Amino acid sequence: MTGQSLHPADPTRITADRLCRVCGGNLIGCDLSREEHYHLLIARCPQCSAVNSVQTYPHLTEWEVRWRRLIAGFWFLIAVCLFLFGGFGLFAWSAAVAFEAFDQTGWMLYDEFEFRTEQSGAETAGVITFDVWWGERSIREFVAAEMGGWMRVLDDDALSLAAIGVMFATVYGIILSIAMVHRRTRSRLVLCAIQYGVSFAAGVLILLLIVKAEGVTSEAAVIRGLIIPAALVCGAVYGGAMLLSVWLGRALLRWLAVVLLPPRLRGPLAFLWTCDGRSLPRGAPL
Amino acid sequence: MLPHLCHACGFDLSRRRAAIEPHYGLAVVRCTCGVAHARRANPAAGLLKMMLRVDAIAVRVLVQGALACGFTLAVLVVMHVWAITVDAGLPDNPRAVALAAVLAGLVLPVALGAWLTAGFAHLPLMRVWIGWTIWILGWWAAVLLVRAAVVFMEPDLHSVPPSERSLMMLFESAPAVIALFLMMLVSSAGIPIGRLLLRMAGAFRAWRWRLRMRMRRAARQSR
Repeated sequence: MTGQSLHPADPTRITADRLCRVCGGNLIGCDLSREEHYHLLIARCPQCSAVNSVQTYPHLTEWEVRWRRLIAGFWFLIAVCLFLFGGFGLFAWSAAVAFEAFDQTGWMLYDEFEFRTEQSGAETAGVITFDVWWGERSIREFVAAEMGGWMRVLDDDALSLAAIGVMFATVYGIILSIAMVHRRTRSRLVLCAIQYGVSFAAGVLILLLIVKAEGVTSEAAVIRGLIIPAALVCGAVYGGAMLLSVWLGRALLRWLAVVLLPPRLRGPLAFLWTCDGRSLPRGAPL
Repeated sequence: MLPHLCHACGFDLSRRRAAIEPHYGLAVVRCTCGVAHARRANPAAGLLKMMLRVDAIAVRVLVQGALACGFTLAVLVVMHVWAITVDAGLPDNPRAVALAAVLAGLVLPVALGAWLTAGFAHLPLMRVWIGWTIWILGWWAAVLLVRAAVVFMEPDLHSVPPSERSLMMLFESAPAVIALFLMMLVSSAGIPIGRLLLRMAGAFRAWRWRLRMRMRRAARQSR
C-alpha cells in the first residue's frame, strides 16, 4: 500500500493535463493518494510507476499570465480568421477551378456565340438567349466535336487543381475540428455547415454581381451558363470533404498519434482524447 | 527566486535546501514545523519543458513522415520495376542487374524491416507488418486507378483499347504484389537490426542521463 486514505476535502483524481516527471506520460485520470511517510499528495504514473507530487505553485509570475493571455489571444484571432475566411477561400478556389476547367471551351463557346449572334443580327443576344442557345442539342454536339470528345471539354489542369482543393478542404476541416475543441460532433458539424453555407452564398452572390457588372455580353453569358454551375458543383464537393474531415478529423489525428508516437510523447496531445470524453490510451508499463 | 510557502504554517521554504528523497526520488524540503513538501520546478521552466516536448513530437512526426514517404516511394518503384521486368525480360547489363537486385532485394527490405521494428516499437510487430502491407497495397491500387483514369481520358496514348488495357493492368499487378510479399518476407531480417538500434538508443539515453546526474552532483558539491 503506497498511501493512506485521503481527507474528505482532498480531490480524488487528476482532472487536468499533468505530465509525469520521469517519463512524460499524462497523469490525467490517475487516482490521488496521501503518501504515508511524508503525507504528500501523490499520483503514481501508470506507465513508469514513478511517484509524482501534485503540489503546484500558485501563478505568481505576472509574465507567465501575460504570455498565456497573449498566446490565447493570438490563437483566438487565428481561429476567428479561419472560421470567417476559410470557407470563402474554399469557394474562391472552386471558382478558380471552374474558370480553369472551361478555359478553352469557354473561349470557344464565346467566339461561336459572338459569331452566330452577329450572323443572326441580334447584337444583344446575351444572357437570356445563351440559355436557349446552349439548350439546343446541336450546339452541345458541336462543342463535343470541336473539343475532341466530352472528356476533353474540361481542361486537364483543372483536375489537378480540383484535387489540390480537396486536400485543402480536408486539412481545413481537420484544423476546424481541433479549433472547436470544446464542441461535440453534432454542434461542430452544424456550425461548420452554416459557416460554409454563408460563405458559399456570398461567393455565388459576388459571381452574380460580376456577371451583372459585365452587362449583357457573351462573356457574362458563358460565366452564367457554365462557370457558376461548375463552381457550385466543385464547391459542394469541397464542402462535403470539409464536413467529412470536421467529423472524422479528431479520430484521424488520434489514430496518427497512436501509430506514430510512443506513449511517452503523447502526453501533450491528451486533449485529443479528453475533448471527446475518452480516456487516454496508455502504453504497456515500462 | 519564487516563494515556496509551507501550506501548514506559511514559512517560506524557497531558501531551504531540498534533499533528494531516496525512495521516490522526489526533491523534498521539510519545513521547521515538520511538514514535508515536494519542491516543484519553476513554472517558467515547466513551460520550457513543455515546448521541448512539443518540439520532440514535431521532430518525431516529421522524421517518421519523411521515412514513411521515402520507403513507400521506394517499395512502389521496386514493385513497378519488377512488374516491367517480368513483362519485358531482364536488361543486357549484368552488373546493373546484380546491383539493382542487391539494392531492391536485400538493402531496401532489411532497412525497411529495421525501421518498422525501431520506429514502431510501441505497437505489436505483427500489426505493424500487416498495416504496412495494407498501406502499400492501398497506394498501389491508387496508382492503378490514376493510370486507368489517364488511359480512359487519353486513349490515343496507347494502342490497346481502354477496356482491355485495364484488364492488362490487373494482370501486371500480380508480379508486383508477389514482389511486395517477397520484400516483406526479406524485411523480417531487419528485425534484429531494429532491436539493436533500439537498445543503442536506450543505452545512449541512459548514458546521457547518467552524465547529467554526475554534472548536477558535481555542481552541488562545488557550491
